Amino acid sequence: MRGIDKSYIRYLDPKVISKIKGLDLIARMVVEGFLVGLHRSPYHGFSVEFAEHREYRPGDELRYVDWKVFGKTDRYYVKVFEEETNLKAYLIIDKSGSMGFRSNGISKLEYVKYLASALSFLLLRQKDAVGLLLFSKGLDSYTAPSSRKNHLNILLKELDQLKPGGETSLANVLFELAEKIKRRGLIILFSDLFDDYESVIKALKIFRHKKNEVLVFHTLDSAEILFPFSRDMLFRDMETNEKITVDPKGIRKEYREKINNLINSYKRDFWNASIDYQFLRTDTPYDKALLSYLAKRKKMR
Amino acid sequence: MFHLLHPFYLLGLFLTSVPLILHLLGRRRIKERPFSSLFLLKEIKKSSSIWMRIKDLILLLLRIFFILFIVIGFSHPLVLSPVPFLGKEAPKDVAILIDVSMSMGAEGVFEKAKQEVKEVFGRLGSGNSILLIAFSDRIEEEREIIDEAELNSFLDHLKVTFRSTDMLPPLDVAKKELLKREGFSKEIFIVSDFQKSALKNIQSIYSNLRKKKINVYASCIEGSRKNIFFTGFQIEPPFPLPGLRLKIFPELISNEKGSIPVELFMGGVMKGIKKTEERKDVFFEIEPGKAGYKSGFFRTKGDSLTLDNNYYFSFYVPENLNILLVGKGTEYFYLANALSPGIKTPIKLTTIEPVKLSRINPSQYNLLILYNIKFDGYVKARTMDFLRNGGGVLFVMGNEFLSEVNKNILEEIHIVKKNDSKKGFFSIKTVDTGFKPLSDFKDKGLKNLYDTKFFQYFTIKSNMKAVIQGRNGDPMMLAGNINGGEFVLFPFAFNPEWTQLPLKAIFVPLVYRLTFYLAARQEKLPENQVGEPIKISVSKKVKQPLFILPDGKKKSPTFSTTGDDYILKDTELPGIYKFIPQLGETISIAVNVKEEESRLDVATFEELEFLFPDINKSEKREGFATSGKRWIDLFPFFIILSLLFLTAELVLENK
Repeated sequence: MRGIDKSYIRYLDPKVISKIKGLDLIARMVVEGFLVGLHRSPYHGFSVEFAEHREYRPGDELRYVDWKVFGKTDRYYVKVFEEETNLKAYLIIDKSGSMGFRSNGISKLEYVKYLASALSFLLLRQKDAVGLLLFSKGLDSYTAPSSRKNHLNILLKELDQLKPGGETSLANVLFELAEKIKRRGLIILFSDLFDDYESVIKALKIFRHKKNEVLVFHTLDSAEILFPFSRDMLFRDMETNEKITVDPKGIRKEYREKINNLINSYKRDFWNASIDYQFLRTDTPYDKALLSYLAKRKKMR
Repeated sequence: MFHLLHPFYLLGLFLTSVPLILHLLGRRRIKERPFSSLFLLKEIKKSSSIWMRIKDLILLLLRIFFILFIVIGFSHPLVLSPVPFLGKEAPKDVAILIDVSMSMGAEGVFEKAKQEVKEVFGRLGSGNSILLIAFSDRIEEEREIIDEAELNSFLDHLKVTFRSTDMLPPLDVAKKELLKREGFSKEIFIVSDFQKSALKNIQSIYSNLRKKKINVYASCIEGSRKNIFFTGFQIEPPFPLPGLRLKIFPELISNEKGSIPVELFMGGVMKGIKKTEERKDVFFEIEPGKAGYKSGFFRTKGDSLTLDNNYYFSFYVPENLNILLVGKGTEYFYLANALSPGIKTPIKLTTIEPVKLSRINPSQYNLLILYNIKFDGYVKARTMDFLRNGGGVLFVMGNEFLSEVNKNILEEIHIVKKNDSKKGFFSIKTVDTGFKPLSDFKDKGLKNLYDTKFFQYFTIKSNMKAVIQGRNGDPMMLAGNINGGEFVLFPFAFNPEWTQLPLKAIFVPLVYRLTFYLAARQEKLPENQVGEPIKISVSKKVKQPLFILPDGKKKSPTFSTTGDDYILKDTELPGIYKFIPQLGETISIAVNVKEEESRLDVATFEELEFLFPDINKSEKREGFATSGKRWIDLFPFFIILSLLFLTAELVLENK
């Protein structure tokens, strides 16, 4: 990692990365940026395959101290490993109409697309198998997990063609998927979770029940949280085309309460169900999402 | 009561429709926006949609009312609002009018008036701004008085004038001033002796004051009414001539019985002193001396009003009396003889035939006598011109006047009212009055002809149509006016006995007296009064005209081109004013106080009450208003209200 330019860090900004063309490049940039930022973090190099030595720092686990080197040099060195696993990760992306919403900058789906690309790149780099599932009302596409080197291209091609559309039926899709995924693995869900709350929780609990690890990236646009509209507006539902006239100023306070309650409820109930939950706004830098993945990955080891 | 100061601003009420129009347009133009999911909005909408509509409606109303209040505010609505004064007297506007006309100069009256002003001022209490107006027939002084010291200083230097009284100007000024002010009650106090002559013109303004809710209080200042005053003077003969002894008759009135002393001053010297009683003739005999203006004054004393005790007079003594006698043949012989009583008498008699009248302009003569000639053609034209220019004409009528031609003309000239004669219209042809006056005179003898009794009997009454009446009331001699000129008809042929009149001894003094009377018409000087301008008519403009006033001050007159008159505007003092048109020439003009002011004919309070309903005595002003009403401008109120509505609108808008 020494040779990586530190300017890559800026590619963690969704606005910056959205200006780059080519999903493979985006994925690479995000990951490189992330890793540069991560250089001195405790997450670095939890690989099982030995890669190099480095000087011991407080906080390093004693089991990684190379005692042979200590015997020769009287200095503490720890072994740095390259991870080697047979983890199967499923990236499940909600591509319903609501994910196409953007207030400023990039849409939720674009945000998720870049994040998924980066994660795919990262996972495959760690020799994990990565599968991709796209859904709206039903399961729209399924790419079986694989850790082959050219699998990244398949995934990126799939992600590149991703367009928002259709209604969300998250719970149904999740039930369907739960049946499909036989072997335990890491389920990473990208969605705005605009669906029946109880059903969503219930469906994700099934994954947990089947010993899958679940990581939810709850992605929302800032406008969906802050509701910054001023004048009276006729809002059109992006999935159902239903229309409703609203005085934004009149309901803003109540709306904010409701959306925050929803987020907090998800957070609480996911925690209770041992499901990792990460709330993301489309202007949140990608390292936050990637860090939560790493934290999750660490737990799984 | 409600009143708008600028009602045209209400046109702005149309602006209230603007928010309504914008509201309706705004509802149609709601922007559509795609949103990820409406499920949260739908939950909220259920509870907020009613509130939204109410809010919209409230916003609309707030905006409409904001504009409404702004518009009403700028139209300055005024309301008559009661204001309490917690037991204290409400501020009021007061004017005190104090009479300084000449009649107030009667003994002790003006001092009483000043004291009354002080008492009225004291009763009004402090804290009032009081307008004090001193008046005569005009506003003499006007001042705003706040405290007693100011009042005393004002009253101390106040003096009675020689002017008459007219309450109209001070009442008018007081009304205008009081109406400008904002007090809760408006009051006028008049401190005066209330001469009746001053009350004639004020009834209309008084009713106007009452309509405007201005209360009027009167302080009738009483004093001694004993007054002796002069009303004029007569000279005998009325046409004075150099060398003829003159009798000067002062005409005087006293409203008290008793002996009246009268002194005559001429040329700064007392010429005589006499005692008389009212309505009894008293006269001074003087030598008029050379031709020219003669002036002087009478003085009396012993009454309460001393300001009118001097009466100034002036008269002009011409060099001689020029008479033009127009007659035929020798018929006027007796008349000509009568007018030339002696060589010393400065009468110039010019006699001509009627035909020559066409070539002579009679304006240079003092008198024109037409003796028994036809009154038509150029005779009539010349005579009428002469009369119109103020000349005197004596028609001595004999048989010639009875011609059919003259009958209508004569009837036209001498109009005798029916009542003047017991027998109706004076018929030229057939009247037989049964009058026997000559026999009466015969009995008295010729020596009595110059006696004053004679003239009393034959009093020439300038304002009457019948100059000489018989004891039975029949008119014997008639007088009339045409413009400024006066004529006398002497129809001696009406009565057979009269036909012989020129032959009788009585004819001479009668004609002599008539001559002087008619000749004096042109020479009499106008009577001037204090406060009125003096007009001096001149034939041509003079270089440095000058007036010398009675107090010795000099003043230049103004020249009026309309009447070729020199006018001296201010005549504040009675006395002899001297006009000097050029060096060595002086015209004397006597100026006296107005007679009406001297009469001291005052109204009692009961008479005032009759003339001016609701008037009250000053001391009867009881109680005081402890509350009143005032016009209040609601501009600030409406502007604050509109700002409140605007604030409410902004708050609700952003909620």
